[in-house]
Amino acid sequence: MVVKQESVIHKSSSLSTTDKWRTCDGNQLRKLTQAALTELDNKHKQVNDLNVFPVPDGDTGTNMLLTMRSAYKRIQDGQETHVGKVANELSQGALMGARGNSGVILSQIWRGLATSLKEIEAFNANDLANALREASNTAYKGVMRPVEGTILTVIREAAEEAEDATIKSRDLRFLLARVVERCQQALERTPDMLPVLKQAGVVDAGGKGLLVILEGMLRYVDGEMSLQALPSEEITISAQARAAPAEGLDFPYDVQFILMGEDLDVMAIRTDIDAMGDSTVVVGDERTIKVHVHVKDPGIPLSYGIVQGRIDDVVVENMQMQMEAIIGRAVSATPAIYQLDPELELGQIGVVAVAAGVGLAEIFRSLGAAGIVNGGQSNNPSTEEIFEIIEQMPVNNVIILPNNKNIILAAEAAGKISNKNVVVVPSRTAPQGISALLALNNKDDLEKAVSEMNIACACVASGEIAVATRSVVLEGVNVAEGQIIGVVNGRLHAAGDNIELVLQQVLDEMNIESRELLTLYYGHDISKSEAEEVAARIEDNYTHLEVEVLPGGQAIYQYILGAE
Amino acid sequence: MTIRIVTDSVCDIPKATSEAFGITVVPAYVNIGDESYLDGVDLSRRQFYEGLPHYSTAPTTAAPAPGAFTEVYDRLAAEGAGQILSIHVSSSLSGILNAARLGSEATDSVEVQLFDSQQLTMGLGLLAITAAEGAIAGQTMNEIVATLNKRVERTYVIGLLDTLEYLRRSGRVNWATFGLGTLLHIKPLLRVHKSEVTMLEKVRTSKRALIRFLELAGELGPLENIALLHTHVSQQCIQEFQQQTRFLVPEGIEPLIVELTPALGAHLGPNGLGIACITRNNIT
Repeated sequence: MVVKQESVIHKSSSLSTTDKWRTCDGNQLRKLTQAALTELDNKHKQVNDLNVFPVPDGDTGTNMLLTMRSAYKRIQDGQETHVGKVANELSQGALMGARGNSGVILSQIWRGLATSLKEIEAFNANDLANALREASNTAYKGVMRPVEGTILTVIREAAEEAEDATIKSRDLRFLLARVVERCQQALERTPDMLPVLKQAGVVDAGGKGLLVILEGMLRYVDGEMSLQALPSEEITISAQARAAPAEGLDFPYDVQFILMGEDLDVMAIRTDIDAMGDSTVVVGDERTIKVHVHVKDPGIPLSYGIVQGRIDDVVVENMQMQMEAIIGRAVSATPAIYQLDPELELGQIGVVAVAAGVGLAEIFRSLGAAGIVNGGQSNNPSTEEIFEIIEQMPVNNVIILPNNKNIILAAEAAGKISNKNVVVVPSRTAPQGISALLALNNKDDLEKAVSEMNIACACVASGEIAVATRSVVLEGVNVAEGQIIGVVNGRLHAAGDNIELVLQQVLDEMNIESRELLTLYYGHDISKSEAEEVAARIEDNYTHLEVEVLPGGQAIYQYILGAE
Repeated sequence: MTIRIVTDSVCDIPKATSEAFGITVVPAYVNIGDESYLDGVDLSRRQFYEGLPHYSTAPTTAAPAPGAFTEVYDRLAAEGAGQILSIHVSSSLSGILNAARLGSEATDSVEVQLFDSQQLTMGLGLLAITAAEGAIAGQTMNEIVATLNKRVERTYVIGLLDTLEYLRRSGRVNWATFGLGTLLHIKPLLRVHKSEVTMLEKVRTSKRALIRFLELAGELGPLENIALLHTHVSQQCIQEFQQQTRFLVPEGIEPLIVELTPALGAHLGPNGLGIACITRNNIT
């Protein structure tokens, strides 16, 4: 931090750090409040960043800032030197301007301070310690159900520290410094007190806001802040880096390479690369270009590069994993057992779904399946693999969605081995399984849930598109190796060399005219843009139909379709 | 002794109705980016909903300042109120009741009875109207509160959202933050009863969602009162919805049609439909 000259002058004229600072009058409190407001103004976005979901309330930093602004507005032009009167004005202003839960608590802190300082002309260290205690008590009374690990913990520890500090010194600067340090420590402990904070990897936002306010005051006392010229915002990456992985990065791969060729069109290449992701940098000339981009699939820019010319110095980094290493927590890895719905209790129903690809696993997970078994068309999971997942489920009532006709029996066998109440809902395709899962109400009894899920299975039509790996005549369809085949509700229905024609036959058989929604899950060999093109053509042909495109990540089937 | 009714803007009672019943409405805040708007005062529903899908950060909401309640209580006292019934959005969903409590503690000018409606939108609105009817009829505070306590048991809001995205983002409802609907588009059917927000069903198509919505509404049995709710749907859609819900409307009732306050719309998103109602019988 660069100490600006005017702030040093200011320091010597107002709150000297060389002499002991014994009392604080109304004018000095006015300056301290302005410093606090300035600091909060600069850092409120950092506080907002801590509102990682699940969030109990809205933008904490903004709410606290607006509350402080309203408080300061009441005194900014005043000349009052009686500190009790200034505190009272601040308290009134905060109460009127209080926004959100943290704002209300902040206003109660001011109210407690004001009540305690009411009759005091200029407060000393003892007065301040008493006032902080009153502020803490008032803050606790300001909420119906006080919770530790919040701003309440921070203000309470501030009060404790202040009392302790007055035993050692009567210097207000010393007291404030001790309080700030203690608040910082208290703040760092908030995740240990509130599991939601720990889960999100953040500290409490309201507590942070209070710390910022106190830090602003201390920095002013130490001459580190000029109230005329505001310091620039300190950017901390950590809060954002922690905020992001709740859902994972949109473009997890950092791809860099040198592209060499002749008559390269830098502008056109930049446009093309930029369309693939974000953070694009494309620089160079018609012979050598440096490419940098963040993408979902690193294969796409590399393949593009090979088409344009030759590539060299290829660097691909997984930023997701780097970030996870930094924050020490997996983000979107796909463990077999996912964390359960917090409301899922022992007597409720847990679902195990078999998923043929990462995308499908994520979808089942997002719909509340607690156990995922990896497996599909070519890699059918064993009874034991399914059994192990059943046993790991934290509930006694388990429903299994095999999502493939070849896995139904293994699932049933696994259910028989287990002592738990296991029912297999015989979903033959992923779309059936997804519909079944949507129909589940965890709180239903097992029998009713299974019946609803079976009905839901029957309401969806499924289609699959793949490339034939051998020649065969089946279900009256003549298939040659390498042709595109279309499967509808588990039965081979069409084969041909043209994917569009096969797809059309599949859609017809799925009764697409009378359907409202088609979901297209594309396989791991298909790019998103290919899938979107296919979806766009279908939407053009059926204007009433909504088409949703999702990455299934499955092998073998280029596309899995579900129609509802 | 004159009893006056105070509520908050989450009640969604149209202005003409609140004026007719002498109900005072204290506006909540809606924050969009760094700007803060007073619900219904600085920000119209139309402005808000048209901007909603485009705001770079999700709008958030905040309770009115306690001082705003103090001011209202003092003003009503000055106008001759002997007692005030301050009825508000469910305290488990919002800090508004707490702000009202702090506001009431800051004044001695009038006796304030706080009441947790355990509801939102016109669920709260219908209860506030019930209270106002009692006050107009000259009932005592105890009588009004006793009536409200009974009605709370029979007050339901059922809603059909177009997407879970806004609810998930808002973080107000635990289960909604649980990744649900982040991949597949899901239209949730929600019920609010006695502060509990339950997802009744998860449906993927609009047609099916509406059918189930009407079935579930019908299962509530005969109604005493009903209001129709929406978040920024077309006029034609409202008219169709009026037709579709006609079978629910008790005789002699012309239901209010209400576009939800931005304070709720921010958490629910556009294109939602719903009803608030008081049933005739207790449902077990």
